[in-house]
Amino acid sequence: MAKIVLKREKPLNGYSKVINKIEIAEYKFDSLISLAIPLKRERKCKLNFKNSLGEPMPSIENSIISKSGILGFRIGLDLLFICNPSHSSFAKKTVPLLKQAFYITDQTGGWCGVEVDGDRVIEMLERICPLNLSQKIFAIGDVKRTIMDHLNVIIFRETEKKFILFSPSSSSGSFLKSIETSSRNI
Amino acid sequence: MLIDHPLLGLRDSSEFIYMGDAKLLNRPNWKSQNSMTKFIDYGYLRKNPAGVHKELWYHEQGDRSWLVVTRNTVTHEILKVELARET
Repeated sequence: MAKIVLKREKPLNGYSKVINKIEIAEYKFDSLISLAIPLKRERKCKLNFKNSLGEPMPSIENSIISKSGILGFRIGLDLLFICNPSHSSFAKKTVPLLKQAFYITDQTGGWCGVEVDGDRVIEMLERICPLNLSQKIFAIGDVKRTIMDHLNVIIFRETEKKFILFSPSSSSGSFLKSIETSSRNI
Repeated sequence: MLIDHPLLGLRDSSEFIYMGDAKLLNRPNWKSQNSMTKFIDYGYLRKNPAGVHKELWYHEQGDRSWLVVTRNTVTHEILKVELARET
């Protein structure tokens, strides 16, 4: 009997488009996991995080990027996300290490990522995002969870004019339409 | 309306869900003699004041924290915001 291998589809099917000089593209990643810090185990988790990813555990609404390109960000007191773009040993080495201290949930299929990049990206985002995106308040490397067009979004600032937005994959089409519409409305 | 989250700063109220009177934090002791009366009060009776009121707000589209917000229901002025876990 032939061996069947299932291949995961990307939520936005590799979408990429430029609207009003804003580059909108699906952010592709291999895996996304959430880490919860067990009660009274923050110290152990901090040590474990450093050992697993080689970077200190970020403070709330901050992020780290490891040498192998893994993005880690902290949403709340006891909640973090780790996004692995393409590092091959992540599932076999890093995740088992993290499991020694954190509660881990694989959320890869639950989220889609969208990169938005361009000189007018702030003008586009300010139409749908209730956050203050001024660099004094929301600096490079900062991350926040918020709501855009009634949809849950995690927003990460990669550079001054480039953001990565994570939103639930089940509503990724609606979210993309919001971004496209907002880009046209500049 | 903006809510000054103790950890995250000013955030739009659309990120939060209003979860009712903050008295819900003080669950009655089921062993007490008049526990039935206390639970009816806890479950069904609210003061609904026109003025200063302590409320529970859940930051669902944010860090998933529970807040106790002291708010004037007439003016919507927010007087104090605390993490529920620290009250």
